Amino acid sequence: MITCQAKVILNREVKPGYYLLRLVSPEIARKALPGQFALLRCSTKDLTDPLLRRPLSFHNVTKEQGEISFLYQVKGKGTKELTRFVPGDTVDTMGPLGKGFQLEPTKGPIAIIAGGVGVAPLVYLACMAHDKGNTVYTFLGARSTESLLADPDLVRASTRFFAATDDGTEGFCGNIIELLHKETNHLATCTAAYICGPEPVMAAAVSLCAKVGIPCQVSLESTMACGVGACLGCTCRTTRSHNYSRVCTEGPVFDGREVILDEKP
Amino acid sequence: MKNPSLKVALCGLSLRTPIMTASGTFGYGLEYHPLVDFADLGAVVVKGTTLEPWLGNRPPRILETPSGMLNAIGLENCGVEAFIHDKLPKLTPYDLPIVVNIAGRTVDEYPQVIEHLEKAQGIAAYELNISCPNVRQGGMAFGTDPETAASVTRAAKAIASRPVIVKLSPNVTDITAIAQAVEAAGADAISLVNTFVGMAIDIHKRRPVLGNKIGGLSGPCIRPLAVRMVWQVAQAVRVPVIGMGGIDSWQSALEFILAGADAVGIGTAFFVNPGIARDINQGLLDYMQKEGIDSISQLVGAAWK
Ligand SMILES: Cc1cc2nc3c(=O)[nH]c(=O)nc-3n(C[C@H](O)[C@H](O)[C@H](O)COP(=O)(O)OP(=O)(O)OC[C@H]3O[C@@H](n4cnc5c(N)ncnc54)[C@H](O)[C@@H]3O)c2cc1C
Ligand SMILES: Cc1cc2nc3c(=O)[nH]c(=O)nc-3n(C[C@H](O)[C@H](O)[C@H](O)COP(=O)(O)O)c2cc1C
Ligand code: FES
Repeated sequence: MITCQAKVILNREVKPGYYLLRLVSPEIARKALPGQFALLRCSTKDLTDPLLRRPLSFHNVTKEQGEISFLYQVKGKGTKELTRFVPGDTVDTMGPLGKGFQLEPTKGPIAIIAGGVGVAPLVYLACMAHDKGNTVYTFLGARSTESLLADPDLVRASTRFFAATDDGTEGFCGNIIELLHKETNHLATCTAAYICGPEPVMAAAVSLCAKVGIPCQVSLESTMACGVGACLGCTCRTTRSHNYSRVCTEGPVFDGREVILDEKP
Repeated sequence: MKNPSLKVALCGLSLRTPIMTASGTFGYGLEYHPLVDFADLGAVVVKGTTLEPWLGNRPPRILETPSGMLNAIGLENCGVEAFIHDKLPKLTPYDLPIVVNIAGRTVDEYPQVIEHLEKAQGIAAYELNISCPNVRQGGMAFGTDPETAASVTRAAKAIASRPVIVKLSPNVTDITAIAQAVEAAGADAISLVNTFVGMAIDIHKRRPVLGNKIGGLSGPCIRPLAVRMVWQVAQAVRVPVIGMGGIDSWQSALEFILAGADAVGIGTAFFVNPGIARDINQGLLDYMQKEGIDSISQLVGAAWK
């Protein structure tokens, strides 16, 4: 874990409201694992608003070039400020933080299940699994083709790539859960599933994985301050213990069986 | 001129710099390691510790606000026994005074926590968090009534062999009255301020954002309020004062020192810049060098005149 002034090499809108940010930080790139995240200061040094750093998962990492990239949705103050950075600027970046995905030791098929910008942490994982020789089935959902974040690296890493849009403008017409139900034969052959998206989507995907009998891991979100386990601001409930768990250090990736997710949209 | 010195003596503790951590923002000391070099700190104040483990409040527990943040952690902690066995031994090997922040639900719980801590080695001082609600008095915070604040202080002092710092709540009409009451009850030092009570409403859900509904406001937005309180308290008592509330630069640390603080606490700023203690020390040293001041203590309360 380090803090550094990481140079921006790219900060581009890839779909309306979604940006790809690529930074140079060889130290972070060397250590970053899929599912881990960084805390970024979204304003220039001395501004106090927005104040706190914002957590973003590693979208992809190229160790040879020492580059780390993030895929972010413009939500509020912080992410809006982040869009202003241009190549040559530096972003105060802290990472790698948290506990990432446990990649299956076997070469069996794995499922990547992503809703919306939830795809962000799964691209690096899919690439790593692909390089390792796993069969990768990817299920990606979004409202419409305008927000379907079918990253070229993800498509390349996927043995089979299934897309779903609510309005049917690309791929299967329906939500990602309906798509998964349709493709349960693929899902059931997987040795593990990796899930990230809105909570109701993750909740439905977790119970589907349980139904077909495969283990799964989910990446959770929470408001964060310190990112290192010191402030206890980011906690969530798990079935692991009666105590709260810190999303920033015990997570953000948890075993699907131990998280307690909100099923309400 | 010889090198200026940041050394501070504070109720029997000798600090290499006036920069301390603010309780609850720095965990049990090691979470930020190695991002924060302990050589940059005068003392570490650990998370509030209670007699039994506390679960804490339901999430969401934090929210950013303009130039600040609200928190309602609810004093989640592992309890004093687990603290002594699991947390403290990891921190004592470092050359750094350790201050244990203590909280309770009743007046009696404070000396009970201290009773356990008295058996442990490597603690430099206790800090009493009197901002928590007193269940025997309908949930009113101990620190909002001079008599209750004094009785917590007396109960702690009666059993503590180590210095007792009392941390004041700013959510009062006259903070100097509370400060004088705890001084008269034997407090060895006073720290202030804890967070200001606040809240925020989610306009979409039409509900309070925080799980606990109300929370404590910290960060740069409270700084002028905190400086005013430190200014008044430091002039009203003889014991040393630890000032805090929104410090995020050497300039703002100096502001508290000039207002009368012997040392300062850094909280929210660690979240933004883990290197803040180093930056403040460097800034203070450069300033002193330039101004020809050889000890930081010469600046304490220098704005009073
Ligand atoms: C481990 C982790 C990894 C993450 N990875 C990614 C990632 O890779 N990509 C990504 O896009 N996101 C990711 N996120 C989420 C991301 O951190 C947040 O979207 C981001 O912090 C939002 O910051 P902001 O300043 O833009 O929005 P904020 O200003 O913090 O606000 C967030 C939302 O809350 C709303 N809001 C604020 N106040 C109120 C109020 N009073 N009432 C109602 N609504 C309100 C805002 O309008 C906004 O929609 C991750 C989160 C975590 C915890
Ligand atoms: C997340 C968080 C947790 C805190 N926990 C405690 C605590 O356990 N005990 C305590 O006395 N003060 C606690 N505080 C208050 C701080 O120690 C400090 O008094 C306050 O935040 C003002 O300083 P700042 O503006 O530099 O953060 C907490 C503050 C924050 C932000
Ligand atoms: S963000 Fe501080 S403990 Fe997780």
